[in-house]
Formats: sequence, structure tokens, C-alpha cells
Amino acid sequence: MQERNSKSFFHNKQYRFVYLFILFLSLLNLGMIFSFPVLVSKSSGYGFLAGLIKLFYTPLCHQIPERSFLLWGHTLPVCSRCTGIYVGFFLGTVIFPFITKKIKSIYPSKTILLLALVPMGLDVGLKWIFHIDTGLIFHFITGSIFSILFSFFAIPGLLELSDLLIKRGEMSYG
Amino acid sequence: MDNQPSKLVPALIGGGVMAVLSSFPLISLGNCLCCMWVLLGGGLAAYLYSKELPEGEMLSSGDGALVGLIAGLFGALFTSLLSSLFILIGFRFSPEILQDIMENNQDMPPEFRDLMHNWTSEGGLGSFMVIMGLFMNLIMDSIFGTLGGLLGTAIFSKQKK
Repeated sequence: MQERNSKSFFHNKQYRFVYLFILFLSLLNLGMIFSFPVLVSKSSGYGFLAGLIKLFYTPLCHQIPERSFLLWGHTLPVCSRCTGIYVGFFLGTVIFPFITKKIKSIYPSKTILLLALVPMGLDVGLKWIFHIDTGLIFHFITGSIFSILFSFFAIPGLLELSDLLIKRGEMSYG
Repeated sequence: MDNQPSKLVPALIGGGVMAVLSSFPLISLGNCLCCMWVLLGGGLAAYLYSKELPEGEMLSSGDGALVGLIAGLFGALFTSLLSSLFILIGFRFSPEILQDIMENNQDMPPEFRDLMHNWTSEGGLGSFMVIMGLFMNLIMDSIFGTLGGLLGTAIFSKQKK
């Protein structure tokens, strides 16, 4: 990966725009998840929207009610681990600019990402191999740990992707 | 940029693997673990692309993300084609399967359940699922394919010596 100084990232208008877009999508995702219990309640009148949200997450998550958080009397449309992953990614995206101001290179070490996978891998392994359920909170925490760290890989990559796409666009249209 | 190898073949292979694993009944359930097969397809595309790079050149995260994104787009198209094929031979997306999904989801709102029931009884389910499936796949596979490409880059890119 390219060694790049972290300061160059947020002095660039394009990068700021892409970063805000990622933050918006991440927030929209959380909004869909946490608004579901409100929308699904009989009094809301937005049952159709709630149905679409539930269907949207069907291919992404097993949606087993016993393994999902209960909020205002209704389960969230994704399981506790997926909730942790999405919340973690959002938190990682929020703290990314503050963290990258303090470090020299924007890319964390590959070892950090692999270490972040260990708690979640252990949690999944305990469930599948030994049938030990560590509980919703633990699923949430291990999912969050992984995705907070993954966001530090994903955001610089997506910023670089925007560079490549713009370059390609410029080449195509002269 | 001109000297770089083509991303098309790695993306086609990654997208193909993604589509096959995401379309077959039972195996496709792996996607319930955060789109595992889509991430795998994107990661595979990034890995194959990194193999094509000249000696000593490292895979950048931008290139990994781009090849993952292209693999995701191919994967979405292939998945929809395979799913349509399964519908044609009556193998998947039968009204009974959708009804099972609706009944198992206790939180599915009644009005949505009724709408789905109407579509099912009118026989419009197949075309609805294909169009809806293609739309959803294009969104999901492009996002998760890109993330898979980034994961693949993080795992498979060689460290600078």
C-alpha cells in the first residue's frame, strides 16, 4: 500500500466529500436499523416501510429474533453481531479524522486487522464448534471491535478508489 | 496506469464465484454472515489481480477496492441470471418459500405481508423477485464486493521490504 501522509487527506475537497458520503451512508444504515422498531409498531402507519427495511436486511443476516436486540418491544432487523459491525463501522468513520491527525501513515498494519478478527472468530467458533453462546452483548462487542479497525482500512481505500474512478472518468471524457 | 494489468478477468472470476455461491440453495445461506460469499468474491478478485501485478509492485487499496467493486457488479448480474434460471426451472423463490419467510418473521408488518400475499397469488412473484433481486444485488454486491476487495488487499498485499 502507498505510504501517504495522513494530513493530505482532509485538505483535499474530494476526499472530504467522499468521507462525508461514507459517513452519511453509515448513518443511514444505522437509521434504518434503529428506526425499524418504531416503524413496525401498529400506531406508526409506516408498516410498509418497516417491511421493506426487514426485507432489505434478509439476505445480509439470519434475523433470528433470539439473537437480536429487543428495542421498544420489537427485535431489530439484524442480529446483535451485525448491529455491532454496523455501529462499529459508524464509530470508526466518526473517529477516523481525529485518529489520522495523530499518526504519520494513514494505513494501519495488516497485523492489527488480523488481530481484530480474532475475538469475532473465537466467538463464531465457540458457537459453531462447541455450541457455547457467549451472549448478545459479547457478539455486539466483538463485531464492533472488528469493524472499528476495519473502517481504518476501508476509508483510505475508498478515498483512493474515488481517485481512480475520477482519473478513469477524466481519461474517458478526454 | 497504462502498464497495469487488466482488472476484467480477476473481476469476472471473483464475480462468478460470488454468484455461484450466492445462488445455490443452502450454500447461499453463507451470505447471512455479513455477505460472506460476496466479500469472498471481492477478496478473490483482489488476490487474483495482485498475482497479475509485475514483480515488486504492490497492490494499492484503491486498486483492490476497484477490482472488488467490478467483481460485485458482475456478481450481481450473474446472481440475478442464475436466480432467474432457478425460477424458470421452479427450483427457488417458490411462493411457499416466500410465505415461510413472512411467517417466520413475526415482526413483518401485516400490510407488507398482505401485499406479498397478493403478489404471490397473482403469480407476479417471479418477475417481481427478479427485478427487486437485481436492484438489491447491485447495491449490496457493489458495497460488499468493494469491502471484500479492500479486505483482500489488506490480507494479500505484500509488505514493502
